[in-house]
Amino acid sequence: MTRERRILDVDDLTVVHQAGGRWGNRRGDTVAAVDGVSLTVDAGEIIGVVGESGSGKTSLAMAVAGLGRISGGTVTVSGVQVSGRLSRAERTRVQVILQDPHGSLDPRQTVRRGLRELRRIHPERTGWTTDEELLAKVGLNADLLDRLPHQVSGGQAQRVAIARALLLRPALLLADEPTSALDVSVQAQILRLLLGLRRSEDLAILFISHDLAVVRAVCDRVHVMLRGRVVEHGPTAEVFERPAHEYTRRLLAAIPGRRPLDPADPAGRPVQVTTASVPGGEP
Amino acid sequence: MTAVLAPRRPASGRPATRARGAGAVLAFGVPLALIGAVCLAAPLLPLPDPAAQSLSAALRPPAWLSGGDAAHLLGTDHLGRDVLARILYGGRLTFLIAVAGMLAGAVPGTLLGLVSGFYRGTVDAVVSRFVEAQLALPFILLAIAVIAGRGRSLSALVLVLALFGWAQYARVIRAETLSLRERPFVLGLRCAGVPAPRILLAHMLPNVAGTVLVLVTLQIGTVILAESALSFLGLGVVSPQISWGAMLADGRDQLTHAWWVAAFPGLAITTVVLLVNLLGDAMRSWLDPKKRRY
Repeated sequence: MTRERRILDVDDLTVVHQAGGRWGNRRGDTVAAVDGVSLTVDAGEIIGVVGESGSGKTSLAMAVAGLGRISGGTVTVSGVQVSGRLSRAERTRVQVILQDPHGSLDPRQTVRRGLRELRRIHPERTGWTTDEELLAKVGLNADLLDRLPHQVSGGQAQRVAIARALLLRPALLLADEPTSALDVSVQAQILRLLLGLRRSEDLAILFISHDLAVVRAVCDRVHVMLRGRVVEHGPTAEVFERPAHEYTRRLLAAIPGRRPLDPADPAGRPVQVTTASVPGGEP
Repeated sequence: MTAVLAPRRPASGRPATRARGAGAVLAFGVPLALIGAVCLAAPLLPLPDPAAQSLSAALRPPAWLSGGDAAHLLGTDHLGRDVLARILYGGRLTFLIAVAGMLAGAVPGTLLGLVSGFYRGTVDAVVSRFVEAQLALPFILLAIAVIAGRGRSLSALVLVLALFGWAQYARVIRAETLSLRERPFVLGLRCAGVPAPRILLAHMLPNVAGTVLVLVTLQIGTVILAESALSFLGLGVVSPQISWGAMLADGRDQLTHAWWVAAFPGLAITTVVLLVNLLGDAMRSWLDPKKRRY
């Protein structure tokens, strides 16, 4: 890969959160949500980050988006280091797609008004397309423009969210559990859309998910996170076929359908991973 | 062979619900507007002068009771003034005070609530302490202090009502903003480089508008009652200005033998407060983009 195609470079990133509130934390306890993570994403690549709840995926995402704390290490997007002092144009180079498709849109704003707002704030970045063309790009009909978020389906809302992200021509699309709230057939449509956009827009996508089947379907390379650290990373096929780390093996064994469900365990208990030493709990 | 259910025609639920919502708004809004219009038009109506005293006609009962006089439909008070005329003229001032007092509390209260919930930190700590201090002060004590300092006047009355109201707005809107700012779309907007003041005014404010509206209608009722209480205690409007609360206070002494002097202004207050509250409820469900979730 040439230097120009490197979109995201996370180098030894550490994110430390205070445990407890400002007043309840006299001892100054801290939790390292992200602990020395390094990864890169090039243009046209979809890179997966998997891990269970509390493994630090979201803290990593917020740091990359320039909205979270960065306690140590660096995050570089298209050669510019992410810090608290980013210009508006610099900040918009990373756009997010989030889990809750309806919650990602202002409930009192029609699709058209939302797009118009973005155009007014970033006139220089948004002139490349019309609302109709933009919606066509994400597979939506233009008659959706005058609807409110509650008048569209979950899959359509997620497509609108993707369209809003695309409008600003981001270098990196940060997809944080983008399909977890959608039913399976819609999931596949959204994944196909992301795969298509990666190709047509030469987009770099950081794909964060706990859903291994989804990650396997779309990602070129995958990073497995446990307690804030990347315990294994490599090309998706390799990680899935020959997992090197014990935790990855256990995670993979937990994919439903990979083996028949244990009849002795009808509740389908989640895979047992020793996390007794994990500090803190849910993020 | 699988059984297939014949497709049913889709029920067209939305327009009907929307229309019914508008119906409820009209059902409460129209009577309220009529009352307001009649009060405003009082000088044009063939009514006796509300300030004209006639001791020979004092404490006349309403027209339909024995001893009543068709010239005084709702009777007269202890100075022989026409109760109906006084209610209509008094309504003008009552409405004015209610709306001014409500606005004077709602506008700063809502803005402070939005700012403190959105920015949190020091701003929030300062605003919240003021809210708590405000809520800890007894209303009547506050009213006496302000009116002792500024004298009895309409502006002093509105100031008291604003001081009385703003903390409620600030507290409720702060809580609503706190939960709203954690919603994913706010993250998306920040990520899209939308400036914070714009997120606050163009996204937070419309989303708390329903709550503000409900508070406003509840508060208008409270403000009318508070004005009545102040006038009743002699801290409110000054004679010859008339308000419903002041009329209620005047009628207090005759309650045992001339109930109509206090009862009709009381009825006016009750009716208007009730209509305002019902209207607020109807407007909330009408304006809500969806009556489900959130």
